[in-house]
Amino acid sequence: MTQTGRLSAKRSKPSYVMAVIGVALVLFLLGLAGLLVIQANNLKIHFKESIEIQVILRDNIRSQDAQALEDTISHLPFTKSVSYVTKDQALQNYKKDFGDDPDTLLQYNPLYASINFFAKADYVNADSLKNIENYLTQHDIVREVYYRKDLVNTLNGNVKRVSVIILALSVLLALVVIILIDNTIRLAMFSNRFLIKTMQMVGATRWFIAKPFDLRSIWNGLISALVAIAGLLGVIYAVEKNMPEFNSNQNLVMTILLLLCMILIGICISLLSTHRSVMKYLRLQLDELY
Amino acid sequence: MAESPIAELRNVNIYQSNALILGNVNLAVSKGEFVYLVGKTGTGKSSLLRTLYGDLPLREGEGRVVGFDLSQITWKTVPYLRRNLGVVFQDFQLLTDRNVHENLGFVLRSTGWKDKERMEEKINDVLDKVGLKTKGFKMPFELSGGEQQRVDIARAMLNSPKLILADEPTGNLDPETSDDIMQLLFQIARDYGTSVIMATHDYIVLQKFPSRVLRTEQGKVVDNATVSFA
Repeated sequence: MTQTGRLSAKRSKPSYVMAVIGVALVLFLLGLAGLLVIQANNLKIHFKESIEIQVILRDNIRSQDAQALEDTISHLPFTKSVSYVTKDQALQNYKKDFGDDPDTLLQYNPLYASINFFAKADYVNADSLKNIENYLTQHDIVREVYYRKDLVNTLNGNVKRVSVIILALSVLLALVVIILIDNTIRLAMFSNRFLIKTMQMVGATRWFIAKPFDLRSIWNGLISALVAIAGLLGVIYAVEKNMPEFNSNQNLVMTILLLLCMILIGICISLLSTHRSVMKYLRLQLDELY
Repeated sequence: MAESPIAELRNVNIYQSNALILGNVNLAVSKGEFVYLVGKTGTGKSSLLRTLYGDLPLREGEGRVVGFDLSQITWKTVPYLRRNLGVVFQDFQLLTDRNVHENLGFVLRSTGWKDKERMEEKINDVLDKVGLKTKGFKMPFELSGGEQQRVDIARAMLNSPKLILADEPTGNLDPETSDDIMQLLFQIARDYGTSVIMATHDYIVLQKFPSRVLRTEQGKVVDNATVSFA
């Protein structure tokens, strides 16, 4: 008999366990989307600051002039990092990249010395780069300023598009999360409808009946959120290990805020859905439960 | 001066949704009286009981049950009406997720009991009355049908109600167990002065334990002094 009792007690639990797992899964997905939104900004900065701008210098200039320009560029507000590449270094780089030596063929080094720099993300857009280009070409020793204009335009267009898509997906996901959690909990509560009705029949007030269900839902929501957060932290750890440019410390406050939001959403949706379901069954008459 | 009835309905019309189930119902049940409510399935026995314990709202007519005006009952006040009643169901309706002792404890806590010692005393007292003093630790599904019905009756007795409403309490039981339950209900009515209204269609029970009979038929409640088995 005791054996039967234990088995039955086990049988009555899965509805709650499944609800907790279900809520944890959707919260995890929501957290992932949130993380993507936060990290999208990081990635945008990373990509923008990877575009190299080459200030190609005229031939036969004094190296002091080139170094003076390098120094000037390094102190300009838009510069992130700068390096001076001499004609010889350019030739070495060429040999390394393409494997042949133009010096042997042409009997002279056709490459130009250049000052290469990376601009800060805020300045990597068509207008700002045009201004930078105009400013630098004013210098006598500068032959031309070269950067991948098409890449800048594509990058900005794509970043805007991806941001809108991620935002739309997040809103959609949030809606799905709310509906899914609500459904999962209502399903779990459906199995309690006769229990709720019986409590009502023996003279318990609505508040007295709802209180333990509500408290349990807060607890379940919290467990779900903690499970989801554990999963998310695992993802962050794995991604950081494999992609060094993904740095959650840069957005620590936002990430903590995201995790707190997950707890809040988990508890609130769990509580509201449970309370709504209990109230629904309390309002129904006995024969409407069948 | 005669004592006022424990339950009284005057010119009451009972509806299920918008369909009239019983019209112009008049009845009065006195203290300690045992009343059968008989009639074919679907003639309104359960609807009448549900009106008495506030699950169906009283729309037309006057009704008083254990001092509560049924027309004034709302969802806020219905728990207080039920605390003065004992309701016994055909399908027992015990809380399946806890044992017998906890089932009874829940009712006491939900009806305002705080003192643990007194609660313990009361639970043991009612279990003793229904002959289940040693079964408090059992889960409902570990009990036989008759035992579950006894727990249901013990639960109904917890707050020493003036009126017990029993909806086919022997409906799911074999004849011997039914006899036990009937003896128990009669004993409660006799010893504690508790009125009992019991819906049944078990005529053998009526023969063995004769008492006043109310009959539901053709949308009316007929008050017979005795039952005819024709």
